[in-house]
Amino acid sequence: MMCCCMVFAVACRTMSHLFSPPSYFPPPHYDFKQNPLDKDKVLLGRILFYDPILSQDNTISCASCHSPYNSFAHTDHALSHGIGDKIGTRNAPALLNLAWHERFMWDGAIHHLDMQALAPITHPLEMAESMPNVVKKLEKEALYPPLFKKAFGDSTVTGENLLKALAQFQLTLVSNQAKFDSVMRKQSHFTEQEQHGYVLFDQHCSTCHPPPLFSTYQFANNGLPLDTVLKDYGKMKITQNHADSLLFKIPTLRNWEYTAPYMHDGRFQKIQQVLQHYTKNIQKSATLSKELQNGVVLSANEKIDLIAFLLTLNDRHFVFNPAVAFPKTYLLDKKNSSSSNGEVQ
Amino acid sequence: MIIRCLFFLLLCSNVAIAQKNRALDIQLLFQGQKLVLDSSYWIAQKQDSIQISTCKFYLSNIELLQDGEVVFRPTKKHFLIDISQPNSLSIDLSNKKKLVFNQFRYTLGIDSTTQVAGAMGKDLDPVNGMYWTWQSGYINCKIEGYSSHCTTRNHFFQYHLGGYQAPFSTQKTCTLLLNSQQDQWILYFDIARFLEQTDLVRLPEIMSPQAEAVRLAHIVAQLFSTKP
Ligand code: HEC
Ligand code: HEC
Repeated sequence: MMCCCMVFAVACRTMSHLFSPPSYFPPPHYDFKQNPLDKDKVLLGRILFYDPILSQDNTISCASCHSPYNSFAHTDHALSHGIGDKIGTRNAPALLNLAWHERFMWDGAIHHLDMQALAPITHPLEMAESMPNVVKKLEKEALYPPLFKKAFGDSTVTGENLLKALAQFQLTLVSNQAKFDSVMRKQSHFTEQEQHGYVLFDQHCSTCHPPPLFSTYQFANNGLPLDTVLKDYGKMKITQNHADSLLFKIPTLRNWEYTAPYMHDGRFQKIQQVLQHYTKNIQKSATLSKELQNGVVLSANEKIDLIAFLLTLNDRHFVFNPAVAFPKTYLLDKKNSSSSNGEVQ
Repeated sequence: MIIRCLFFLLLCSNVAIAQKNRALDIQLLFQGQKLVLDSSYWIAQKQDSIQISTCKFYLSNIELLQDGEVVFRPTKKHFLIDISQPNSLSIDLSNKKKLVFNQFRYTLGIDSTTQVAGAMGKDLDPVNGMYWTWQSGYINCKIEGYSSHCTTRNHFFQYHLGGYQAPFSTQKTCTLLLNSQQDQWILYFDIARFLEQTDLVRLPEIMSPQAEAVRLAHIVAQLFSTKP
């Protein structure tokens, strides 16, 4: 009994060190019981995330499209840019607060974070690899079997453990250090302009982008006209239900300043264009969300105040957090580093 | 000391008697003959020449029953059957008790709870190529090959039958009669009888959850038989 309590206490301690959302966040959706966070698993996941070995020609890593400095999105690329300079069909979203997402991808094609990595690894325009081959490559690379052993107690590389490690690292990408958060913690105050922006936000945006996560992570049609080249109908592709035509996953607005361009196809470069869309260019269609039926009315000054509020959602600490950055000691010189067990930088 | 040895021997023999080895073997057929991968078969009825290159499927939630009452369930829940892996073609049903049963129940495919439980290992590891990558979900049954009638590249046909959500749930549970006097049974599946029900000309590829996947998966499940 006593022993049980101790094990539990230790488990809680490691877990809370790796994942400790603030009290004003709702309970996460991810079932941590199935894959309890552990520092060696998170570290393995972090190394894998930054290692191009997961791609067919060893040139593209997850971080190629999900850069920490862009809040793990892809800057400059409206559509994702993968192996052999191939261009995909969607914009790479920011990766943060993933434990609260119910489904993944702009159309919700993926229902579990563990399974998400299969998509980029095997996609012909992204990493173009196969899972059996990735497993084989990792087993041959001196760096990995000891890391799998340390993390999972078994140096054999399996698809299961590879996926679990990648999910663990991504679960630790929690953004909660924006100015908005310090106001929530009563450590700081909104300026008058930010406060006014917050009121406007609450009025016009918060049904779909509610604090503190700034997304419901549900799906909606926010009135973007169909791109006639890409012909992307969003969620309908997965459900084959017409009621889901043009519905896309609602993205978080946290760290938006680091994640341009915007929307599922990266059609807008600037936040002003986004506001222009919501105030002037909403396209009516059968599935347009009811909140946006009459468009959003904002004066020029109100737009400025709204943007002032939105700027309080940027989390510099998250973007420059060394704990989730490129693991130099492991990846810069793989051959030497396999014997090193120094601190990660 | 001698007594202890005797006791030990007694214990061993007891276990040996109590342990009942039982197994269900899976045999894939083509027109009643044992299927050989990658060899050519002629279907007279359709005037078609066929080769099978892959046949893999999940058998799950296996149960032995006596008049509808479950008497035994193996601890392993999901078995990946793959004709190219001889080890996968036998399901161990051994246990310690003598059982009386007259039915065998199985499900073709993976249930919806397991489908959404995250990354899993062994038979459920995505490395086995039985998990869709572009969208979440296991492929419950994968049958691939060549048909002279297919107008696809290299005349290749691919049936990846999966989907776990309504209205396209492909899982199917069936019950067969089984005689508990035996301790070795064979479960037959004749791929030719499956192909008779497909339209290789019009629909040679199924790669996502859809109505036709549901129809075909249910046909596969019902084609298993204890008679060749
Ligand atoms: C070639 C660029 C590229 C690479 C490489 C890439 N991704 Fe992505 N990622 C994308 C795009 C584009 C999307 C959105 C795809 C969609 O909606 O269909 C995405 C979506 C995601 C999502 C879902 C986020 C959400 O909010 O729904 C996660 C998680 C993710 N990627 C993780 C990874 C991991 C882990 C790797 C490495 C194994 C990786 N990505 C490699 C471009 C990439
Ligand atoms: C009806 C729900 C809804 C409302 C209301 C709404 N949005 Fe959105 N928002 C969405 C959806 C859905 C997307 C993604 C659309 C897509 O890419 O196709 C989105 C995307 C965005 C993006 C792009 C984020 C990124 O990373 O690409 C920004 C910025 C944004 N919204 C800001 C706002 C603001 C500001 C308001 C209030 C004026 C607002 N939204 C109101 C549903 C909504």
